[in-house]
Amino acid sequence: MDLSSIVAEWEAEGFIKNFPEGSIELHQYNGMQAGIPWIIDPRVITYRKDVFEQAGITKLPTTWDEFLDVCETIKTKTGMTPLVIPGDRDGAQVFLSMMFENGVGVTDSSVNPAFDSSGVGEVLSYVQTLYEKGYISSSTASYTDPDMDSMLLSGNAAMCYGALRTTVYKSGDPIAETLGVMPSISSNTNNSPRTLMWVNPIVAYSQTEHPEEAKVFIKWWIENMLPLFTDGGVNGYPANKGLLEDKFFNEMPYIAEAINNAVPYGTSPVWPSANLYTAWSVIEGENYLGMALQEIVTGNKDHTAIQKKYQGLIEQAFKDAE
Amino acid sequence: MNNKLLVRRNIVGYYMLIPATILFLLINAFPLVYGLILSLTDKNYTKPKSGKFVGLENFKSILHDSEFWSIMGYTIVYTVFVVAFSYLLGLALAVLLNKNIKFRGVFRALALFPWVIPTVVAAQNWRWLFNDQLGFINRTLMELSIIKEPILFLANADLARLSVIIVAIWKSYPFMMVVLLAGLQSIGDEMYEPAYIDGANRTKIFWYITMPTLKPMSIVCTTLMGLWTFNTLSFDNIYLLTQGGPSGSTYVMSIQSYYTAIYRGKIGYASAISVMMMVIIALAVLIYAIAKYTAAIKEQRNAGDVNG
Repeated sequence: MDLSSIVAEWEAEGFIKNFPEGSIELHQYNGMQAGIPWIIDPRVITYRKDVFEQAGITKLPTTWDEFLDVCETIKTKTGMTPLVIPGDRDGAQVFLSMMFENGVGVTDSSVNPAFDSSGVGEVLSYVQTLYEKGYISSSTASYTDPDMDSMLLSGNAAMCYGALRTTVYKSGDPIAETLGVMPSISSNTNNSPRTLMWVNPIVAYSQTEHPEEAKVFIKWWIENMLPLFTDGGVNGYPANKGLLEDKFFNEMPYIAEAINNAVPYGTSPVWPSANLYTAWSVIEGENYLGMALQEIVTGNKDHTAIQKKYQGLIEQAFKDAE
Repeated sequence: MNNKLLVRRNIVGYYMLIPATILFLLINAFPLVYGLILSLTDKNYTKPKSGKFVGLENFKSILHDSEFWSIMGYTIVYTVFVVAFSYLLGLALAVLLNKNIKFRGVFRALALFPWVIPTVVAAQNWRWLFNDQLGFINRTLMELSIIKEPILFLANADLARLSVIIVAIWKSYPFMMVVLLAGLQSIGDEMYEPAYIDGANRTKIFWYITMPTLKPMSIVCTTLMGLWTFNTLSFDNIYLLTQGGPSGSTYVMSIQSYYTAIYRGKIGYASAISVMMMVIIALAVLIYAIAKYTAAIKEQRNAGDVNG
């Protein structure tokens, strides 16, 4: 069901500024507003503050070079694996975040596949450095999201890159209490920090017998859904950023850091495109970015061949979507 | 009994078969036929107007896809290794547990464990065992100074191919063991006694009495395991362990079909892959039937020569 009228009302009321940049456009399809931003889910670098203290790291990194220095310090001074990233589908999200850190996406701003860009090549080199210097595990290709928690909580890793570890943070584990969220970083040449942020929508079915009532409810729900998080125990965060100012989200340091350090830099997965429906579902579903990451973390150094291979597959996904 | 009564009784019998027949057609025949029909179309769930008849186009595309051939090759290798080694392991354990040893019941129960554990739980445990830094295998080997660097069981393409096969063998051998153990228990002492009296050693008794007697069970269990592994077990096991990675190195046909259908929406193409799987199984069965028929003819001829 087209929900454009809700957006129009919010624009008139000035409420629209509460939504992350690009999140309204992300859910537009064929001229209709197919969804309304509901929950946000940023990718962040979670780190152990106690390990950083032990290693004598006082300044958090803001660029790739600084981040590599931090990894080296942790490795040398603690013997831990500095960073753990997943190698499966979640690895694709980390890889995409790294692409955003370098100012490139799966497409260019004209919505053409751009995996063969020099920027993506730089990301592959960056991941290769992390891999070859032992800053990520040699077994990264087989890691899944739960492996990150195991590595972090068992004292084998100092940082992990992925979804917020909210459940872990609330688990009461002594290590979990030392977790923090690092400010989003950028590559050495890109001065604009970004991180991947999913924006999950609410949609409505056109079959409803009460379309106007449904729209009224959706609008009211998005504006007033705080109890969903405070009483309902939902681990996500509202796309309506006005609600993030509530003390519930700010009384836990880890969550507050995520809101301050990652959410402002949250970037839609299809950036720099405004929206990209069918082709994206293939690119994400077939895990092309995760497979490109796997190529690097299994020792493939031929970046040109990797870029050519996945550029071809992404181009095919675009053709299939036509 | 007169013919009219017989016919009436038969008609009642046929009527009683109707519900089961309808159920069978709905559950088995309909998906099969619908899958065959879909494989001849360009049906794509992301394109509402798709679904036109394209004849054998999907099959032509599959046969020209180099990736398909390598995936098919690994699927066959995977199936052959899993069936062969789970059979050998199952046979060895069945022979061992057929002996009159202490705590035989406990050992039999323990040997069944891999079969009893839910696949998801087993896969998660194996993932932990295989982990490079926290896993039991790597930690133990490193503690014992047998290895210096962890073995990348699931992160190295070749090792991942081998690891998923090992887990599948572990999961499959109890079925082989149970069937073969039942077969061994059906062989009475009277079969062995004449051989012992004639002075045959254990190896000869095993090859000339035990194995031929187990042949029917062996055929049944390897055939069933072959079908299950090729069609279903490969998917469960590999999807849970590696999702087909790293970099697609553990893709099997069932995973390729699933990804094509679910993530690309290309249900026509995915159905064609599934039909190809059916054709491969049909070919394997045909080759086996021909081999068996040829062997039977040869045996008859030999018997004829001896008698003649």
